[in-house]
Amino acid sequence: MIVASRGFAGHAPMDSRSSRIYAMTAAFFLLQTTLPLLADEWTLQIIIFTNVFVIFAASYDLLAGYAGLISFGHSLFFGGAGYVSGLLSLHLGWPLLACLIPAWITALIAALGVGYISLRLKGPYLAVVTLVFPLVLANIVHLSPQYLGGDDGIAGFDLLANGSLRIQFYIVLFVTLVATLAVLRLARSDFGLILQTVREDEMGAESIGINTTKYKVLAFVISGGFAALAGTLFTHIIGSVGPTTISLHYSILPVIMMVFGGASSIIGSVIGAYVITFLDLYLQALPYVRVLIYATIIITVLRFFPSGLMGLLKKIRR
Amino acid sequence: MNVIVNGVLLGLGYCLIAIGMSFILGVAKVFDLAYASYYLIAAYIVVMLVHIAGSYVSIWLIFLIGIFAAVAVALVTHYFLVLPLRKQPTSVLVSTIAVAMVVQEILIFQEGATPVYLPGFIKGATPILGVWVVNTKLLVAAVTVTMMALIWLLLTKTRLGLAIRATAEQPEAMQLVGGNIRRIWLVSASLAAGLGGVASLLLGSIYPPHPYLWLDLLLIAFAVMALGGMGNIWACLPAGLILGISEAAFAVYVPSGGILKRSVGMIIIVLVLVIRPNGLFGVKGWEEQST
Repeated sequence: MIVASRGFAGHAPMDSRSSRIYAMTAAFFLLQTTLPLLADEWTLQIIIFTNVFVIFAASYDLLAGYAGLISFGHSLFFGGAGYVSGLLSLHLGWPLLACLIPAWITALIAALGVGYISLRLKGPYLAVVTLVFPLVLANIVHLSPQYLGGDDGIAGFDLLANGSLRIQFYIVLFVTLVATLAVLRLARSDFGLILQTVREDEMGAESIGINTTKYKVLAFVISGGFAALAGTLFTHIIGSVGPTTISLHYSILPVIMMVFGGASSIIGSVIGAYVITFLDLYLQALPYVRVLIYATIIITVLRFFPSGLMGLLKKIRR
Repeated sequence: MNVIVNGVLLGLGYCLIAIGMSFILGVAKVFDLAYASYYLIAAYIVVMLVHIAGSYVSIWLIFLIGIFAAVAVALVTHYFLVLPLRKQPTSVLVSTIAVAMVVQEILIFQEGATPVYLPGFIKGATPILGVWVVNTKLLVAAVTVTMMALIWLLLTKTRLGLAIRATAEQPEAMQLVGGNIRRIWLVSASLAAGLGGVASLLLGSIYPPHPYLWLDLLLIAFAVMALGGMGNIWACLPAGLILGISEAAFAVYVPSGGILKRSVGMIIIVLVLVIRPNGLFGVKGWEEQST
């Protein structure tokens, strides 16, 4: 089989190597529970954001890495869900949880729509069409500065856990742990294998009775849902959402994280999210150099290590 | 009348933007998202040179240097990135968008994020069918039509054009008969970048370029290409006209169309790609032929 011969991670649901990876991932996040005792507030803040981006990057990897559906508009789900929950909280004064659920549902519906629209498109065409959706949303936002915030975005809605850093930390940690394990499980189950099969050979997949339409749309919906989860967390932690949250920057960020860690490797995306967010932090003082370094990383990795960090590790181990 | 005249001129401008990108896609069969960056580079090099040496060097020489700068950057990008990654179209996409981001940051670093102003070619305005039109726009229209004619001549009447068409249709067969397809791909990319440079210098004096313009340009080019059929160079002209006229009409007849006007192109991209993936004039299945 094509997928197996390319040396992707094993797909048997629970062989010993698989369970070791779940255990290591869980241990990595559980170890962080001690952090509020050791680290200062600044570090906690950073870890919170990093964990949010872990969800975002992992969700993107499921779509772009496993299913091979490269999207340049993932910020539609991330920022769009943030917009919905922020607007509900600001204008209707609903409690936080009541704002989050409609936001996720909206994102799932949007993902369903984008998934269906994108069905007939492949590779570059898909990338371009997905690039368009967040831009249209940004245009709509510009239309009504009064209610939708226009250029400045909206702020002043409820914060997660009323802004208490430690509780925020634990909430985000828990959600990230569950979400990462869930994505990992999905990616290593038959579902992940089918997505890879569809990516490698769509006609072949159809010929052995796989409903490619269903799986491609499903990839969009699941990935969009997790991205929305990350987006709502992000919005309610920083306490504002604006056109920047649906800009190209937030669409390219998960691409960079995925490419850096290695496509179709959820662990790689987690590592990529950590490395890129910390890098971003230390480069904050050099605004121009930041994007330059990002772009250079992408180009170097793609050109010389096409399978990213995880591919490199695999090669070293051999 | 106003809508039609302005729409036609706008559409010809769009066509001029899209033609280079269409050329790369149609001939080299790669999506080069850095194409709009070549456009910006030409404009910015000209602006910088005018600042430094505008008083003692002929403006035509500066324009020529600008176009060559765009070609040089395109050659480097294609030689080091696009050619080695050709086999993986998604890697090409991601890495060329990275190149576009690098160029954007360098431009901001050099000149700031505000628009820059290019020297115009000609001044004044002429009435066309009762509508006053800036002369530069007429020049754009003339150049667009001339460019289409020149590309047609190049592709159909010269040896190089024959080689380019052969490579586009059957790269393996071209290699088999001893053609250097890598060199032809590079030549096509530089021709496209040259077209981008010409477009930038002409349109730059009407629509001032700024570092973030590449995304808008890319979307315009895509809207035109989607409408006309991906990689179909000749369809750029009618597709550009349709887009230009519909945008001009939208801005006039639809309430708050001024803000929403930019969405027209985007909606067209989505609609056309979904309803008629091969465009209005597309030949069915060229992508299958190429891969």
